[in-house]
Amino acid sequence: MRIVQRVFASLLYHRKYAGTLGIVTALFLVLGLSCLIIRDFQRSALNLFQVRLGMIDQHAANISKFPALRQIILVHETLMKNEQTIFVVLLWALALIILIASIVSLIHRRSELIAYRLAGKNFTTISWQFALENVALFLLIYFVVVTLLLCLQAPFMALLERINQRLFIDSLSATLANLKNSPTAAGWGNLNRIFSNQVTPFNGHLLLFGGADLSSSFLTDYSQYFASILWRGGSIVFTASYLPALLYNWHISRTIFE
Amino acid sequence: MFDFRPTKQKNNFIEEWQQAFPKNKLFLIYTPSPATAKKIYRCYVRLFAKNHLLKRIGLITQEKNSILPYLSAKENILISFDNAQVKHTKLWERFETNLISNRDFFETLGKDLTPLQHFYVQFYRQLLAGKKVIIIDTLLDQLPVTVVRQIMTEFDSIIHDIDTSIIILTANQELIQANPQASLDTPPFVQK
Repeated sequence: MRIVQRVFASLLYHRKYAGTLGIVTALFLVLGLSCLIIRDFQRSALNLFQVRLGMIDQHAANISKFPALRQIILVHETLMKNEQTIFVVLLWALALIILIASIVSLIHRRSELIAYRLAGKNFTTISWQFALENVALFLLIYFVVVTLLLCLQAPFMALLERINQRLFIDSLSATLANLKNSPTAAGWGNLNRIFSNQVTPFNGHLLLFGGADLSSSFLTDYSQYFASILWRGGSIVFTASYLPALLYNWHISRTIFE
Repeated sequence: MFDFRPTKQKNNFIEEWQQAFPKNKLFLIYTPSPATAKKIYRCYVRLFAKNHLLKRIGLITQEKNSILPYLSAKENILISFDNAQVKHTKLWERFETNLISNRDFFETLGKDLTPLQHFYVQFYRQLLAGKKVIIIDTLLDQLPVTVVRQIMTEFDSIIHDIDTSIIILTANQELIQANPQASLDTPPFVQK
C-alpha cells in the first residue's frame, strides 16, 4: 500500500503536471464519448432507415428508382466513418500527449528517479510507479467526468443531439437539403406514393430525415462506451507512460553508478 | 531469481575487500581535492559493479540528492520496505527510541529536512537495506562542525551493532587528526 501513498503524494507535489494532464484527460474523455455517442446516433438512424425501407420496399426496387434514398444511406455511413476516424485520432493524440508529457516530466524528475534508484528501488518498479501515477490520475479524472456528465446528462445529450443534427444537415447535398427544407414540395409526390397504402401518416420526409431526430436522451443507454473509453484510454496512458519511464530509468541506472 | 554469475569471483572479492575494510568499522580517507574524492568514490562503485555486488553497497553522496521532497522522513527511510518488514527489527527499534525524542522528525517532509536530518534519512535507509558497505562522499565537509560531531557520535554508538563498514571521504584534516585510528593514508584498491 506504500506505493499508493507515494503515487498520491507525488501527484500532489507535481500539481502543475497533474493539472495539465488532468485537463487533457478530461478533454479526451468528453470529446471521445461525444464521438462515440454521435456515431451511435447515426448508426441508430441508419438502422431505422433501413428497417423502414425494408418494411415498405422488400425487394429494394425503389432504392434504384430514388437516388435520394441511396444518398441518405451514404450520408449516415460517412458520418459514422468520420466519427470513428475522429475517435481514433483522439486516441492517437492522447497517446502522443501522454508520451511527450511523460518524457518532459521524467527529465524534470531526474533527481527523484535517482533518489529512488539510490534508495535501492529496481528500475522497473520505479517505472511502474510512474505509470501508475498517470493511470491513477486518468481514473480519477474519469470518475469525475463521468459523474459530472451523469449529473448534467440532459443538457449534454441535448447538445450532442444538436451537434448531430448540424452534422447531418451540413453533410446533405444541396438537393437533399432543399428536400429537407420543403417537406410539402411537389417533388415528394413520387416518393409518397409508396406510402399510399399505409394507414399511418408516415411519409417520405419522415423516412429520409426522421431517423436522425430519434435518439435516446439517457446517457446510461451508452454505458458500453464508458467501459470502452476507460480500457482504451487506460491502456494508452499506461503504455505511453511506462515505456518511456522504463527506457529513461534504465538509462539512469546505467549512468548513476558512473 | 537465479544468478548465474560466478560466485567464486564474488567471494574472492568480498574476502579481499573485507581484509582492507573489516566489518563494524569506520574508515576515514583523506581526499584533498574534490577530484580525488570523485576518483576514489567511482573506483569503489565500479569495483562493486564489476563484481555484480552493487546490492551490497550503499551510497550517500552530495552530488545526487536522494531525498524525495514530497515524502515524510519516515517514508523516505522506508522507501524500499514494507512496514511489516522492518517494524520488528532491532535496528528499527533503535531508530525509534533514538529519534522518538524528536517525534516531528519522522513526519517532516523531505523538502523541509535540515542537512543533519537529510543525512540521517540516507544513512538509516542504507542500514535498513542491509548494506555491507556505506560510502559517504565529501558530504560531511559541507556540514557545520557541530553537525559533523553529532554524526560521528552516532557512528560510534551504532558501528558495533551493525554488520557494516562505513567509509567516509573527507577533505577535513581536523576530522582525520581527531580519529587517527580510523584514518587510512592510502586508499586501498585505488591505483595512482
